[in-house]
Amino acid sequence: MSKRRRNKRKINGEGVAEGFAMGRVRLVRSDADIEAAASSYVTGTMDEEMERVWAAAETLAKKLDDAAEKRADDDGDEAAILCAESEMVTDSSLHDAIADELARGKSTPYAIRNAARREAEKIAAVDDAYIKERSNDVIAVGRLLIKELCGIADAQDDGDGPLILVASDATADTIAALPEKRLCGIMLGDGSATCHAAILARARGIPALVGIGSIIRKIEDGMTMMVEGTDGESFAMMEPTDEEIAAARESYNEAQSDEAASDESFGDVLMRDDYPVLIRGNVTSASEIAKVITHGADGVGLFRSEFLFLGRETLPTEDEQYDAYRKAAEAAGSHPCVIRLLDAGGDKPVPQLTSARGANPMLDMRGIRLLLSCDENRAVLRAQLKAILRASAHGHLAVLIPMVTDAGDVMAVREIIDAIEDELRKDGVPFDEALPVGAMIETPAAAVLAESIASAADFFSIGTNDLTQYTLSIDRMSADKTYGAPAYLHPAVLGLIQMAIDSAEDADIPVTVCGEMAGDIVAAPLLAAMGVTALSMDASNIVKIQNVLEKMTLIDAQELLDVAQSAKSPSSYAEYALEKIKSLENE
Amino acid sequence: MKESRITLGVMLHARPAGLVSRAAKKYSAAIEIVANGKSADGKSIIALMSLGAKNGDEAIVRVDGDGESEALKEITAILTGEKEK
Repeated sequence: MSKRRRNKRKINGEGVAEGFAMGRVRLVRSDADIEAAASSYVTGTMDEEMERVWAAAETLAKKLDDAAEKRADDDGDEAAILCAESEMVTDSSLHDAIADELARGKSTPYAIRNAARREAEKIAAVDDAYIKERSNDVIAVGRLLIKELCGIADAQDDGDGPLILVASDATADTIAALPEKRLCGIMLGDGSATCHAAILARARGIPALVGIGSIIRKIEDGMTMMVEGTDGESFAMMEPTDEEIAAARESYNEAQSDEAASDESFGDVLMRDDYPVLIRGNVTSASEIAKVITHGADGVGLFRSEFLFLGRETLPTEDEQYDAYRKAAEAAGSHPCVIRLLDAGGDKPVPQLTSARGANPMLDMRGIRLLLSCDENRAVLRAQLKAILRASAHGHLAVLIPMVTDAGDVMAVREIIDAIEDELRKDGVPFDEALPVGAMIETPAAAVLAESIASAADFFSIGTNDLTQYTLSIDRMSADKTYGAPAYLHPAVLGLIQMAIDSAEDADIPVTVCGEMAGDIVAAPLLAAMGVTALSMDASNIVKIQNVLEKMTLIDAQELLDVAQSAKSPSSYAEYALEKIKSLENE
Repeated sequence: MKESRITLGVMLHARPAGLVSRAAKKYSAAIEIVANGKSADGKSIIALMSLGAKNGDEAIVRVDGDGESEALKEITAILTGEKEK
């Protein structure tokens, strides 16, 4: 019997976005990584430490200056920010504070952290919102300095070639900071199918693995990595050999061609009894639209405009936004393209907006409430609406309002739109007079008040990710673990979705579902049975959902809904549904 | 010592403050900026940002030491917004 050798370069994880990629590892350290390195740091004498800190600061400042020089030609803004960071790293006031913390007996990494906090507080005390927000930059610079000191600094960008992001956890910001064209795969130590990294990966059609666990410590910056994301159990390989690459590529391509063989593209999928359900795509930029349409989607059900705003120092101008929305409208062509207004706050902070941060980020001001909360933010909203209206002359755009809680939110946006329309008419600028304005139903409040919101809105779009976490009071990341199946299958969530759909039907307005739920084979039939007009999902899920719906009748879907509504738990329903789907496939 | 009273043409957030501190460090002379009732070391970006000074605010630039005139000229040019970049 031959001895089975475990390949130590192989990494197992849960595939949450499909695709195959090879690239260089870009390791992004999380707070936990820094904490671990900081706690094992051995602090020497005061003089030694001040010298080490200064040496680290100078090395880091030089790196920042070099990076600034590289960017100077194509992005002056970015270069100036890097210069400012370099100035902060060597700031005399910061180093005085570090000396003071060291004198109090703090170990060096914590001395830097505390000093950065103290300095940040000085800036936070300023009574100008914009400068105040910049206090976070000092904290961030302190973190960079700790990383440099502890020898865990992020690698410098080598300038080209595909990248695989590796991190214990990644926020939308981390990803937005990487060059879009080069990011070809994502691997996370934690994470789940609904975390932002996963959503983004699916939208861009790049593979993502989550839950790779502690093996992440063995991964080094710059090493070559092969990632194969399939639905469910997937793997990656550090420094793969040519044979391994060839074998993986072949098996991946085989699986792909099986899928493609059953791929017949059309916008609305017909269930077996000819009941129609529209399929649309979720995208984060205009460049992704062609992909969802070739996958057979009837346009874009959700254009996440926040990605235009994330990972930059200044807000995008109206003209810049107009260009992006116009490109989106043109890429969608004769199909609709629904632009969701800036959904900032919570786990997608946009620091240029004025906000009061509370202790619980999930219950901070978000979405439309944040945009309407003060004059400065209203100006941001107005610029976005004007850009959309101007772009609406070039296709079939619609506006979607995030985090609506009552009809007043919709009326407020409509009022602003009316005023902008008057302006555009006066200036002779063309726009779509019938631009539809829709409401996201993603708070329990909106589901309960769906009837009155339906009288103010032209359509509904149900955001099941947030609706689920606000209904069950459980964070998205932990929800799925708690129920052993996606938490949106919980009868309480299904009940609220049904209320929203019923109200939309009564008011005779279309209703789309655009959360993860729409792209899940066990959940999509439930939504069809409840009466949605369209399901909007990431490009990678479209073919899969079309295949499932085509094989069942509306009666089959209704039967699944009955089971789900009375199921003991989401996991028992999920098991039942998978069996049922399998049996229909074999029929 | 030389000083000059000016009206700020820029808001002292990270980027402009970084330009000032970087320019100030080229000189051995002490450079102080007073605005908003507070005083800041012109060579410290953090101190400059902590002034919370905006365009239109009155400010005083004080330079003491070698190369006073040149330093005063360069720093006021940045602060008044005459020198973009």
